[in-house]
Amino acid sequence: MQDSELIENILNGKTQYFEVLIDKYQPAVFLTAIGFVHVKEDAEDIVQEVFVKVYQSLAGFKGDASFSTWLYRITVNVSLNHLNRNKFRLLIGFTDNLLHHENRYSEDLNPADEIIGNENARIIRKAIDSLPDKQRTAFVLSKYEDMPQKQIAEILQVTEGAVEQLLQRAKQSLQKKLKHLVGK
Amino acid sequence: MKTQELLDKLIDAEKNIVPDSELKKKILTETTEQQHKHYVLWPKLAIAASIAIVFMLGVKLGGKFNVHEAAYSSIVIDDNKIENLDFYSDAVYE
Repeated sequence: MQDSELIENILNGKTQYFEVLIDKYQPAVFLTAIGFVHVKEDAEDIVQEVFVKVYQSLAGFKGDASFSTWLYRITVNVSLNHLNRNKFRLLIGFTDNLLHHENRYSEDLNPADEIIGNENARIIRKAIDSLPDKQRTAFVLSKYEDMPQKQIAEILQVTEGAVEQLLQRAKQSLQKKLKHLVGK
Repeated sequence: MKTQELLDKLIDAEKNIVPDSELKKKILTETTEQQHKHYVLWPKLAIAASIAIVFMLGVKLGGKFNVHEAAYSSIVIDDNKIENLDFYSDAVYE
């Protein structure tokens, strides 16, 4: 079923079609969220918030852009808002680290740590998280969603050339920050 | 490029993280709750509006009550005119 048909059915009160929408897009929304927050529980919170917003705003969806573009925009905004809200919580988490308390970046929660080492994973995540919002968004959509530049441009509402620049700068920034890891 | 390899490994590992199987259920529960909250708001608004209307009616009604000057003066008691008050006042005691 096409997205437009799904939306029409949902707006006509056939709310069971919202479940179909969730099944179709939840994996992609979760993947984007993981790219921003790196923690399963936080990503799940974001997915929940995104679909609630979608449900509440569906009547206002005009169809100027495709539904998936609209959905990705909401996902990016919710993810960035989540990060801003939790900046204080991250500071607490850092303090907990100093006191040797368990934190959400422990090995049990993220398989990446087992593959490349806890410390390396932490440094790489920190480098990705330090990118400016637009660079980070372009990076996440490109690397986590394997999204073409054209689609990223639609989501960010910039030109394809701008997306290419964002990705180049993100790549250079990450290489600079991570070069000391090379050879370890 | 070793840096790229490290990045790719981290990204590939994170891409394999699977969300909780109950996540869809949580989403549907929350959207239902949000819908319910929207409907429950109306009774509260109606009660608040009723209180505001009653209050305003009371203020308007109170404003209509004007005591005439003479009538006002008749109900104000001058302590000095109370009979035998002199016995209780230091000023006139001898």
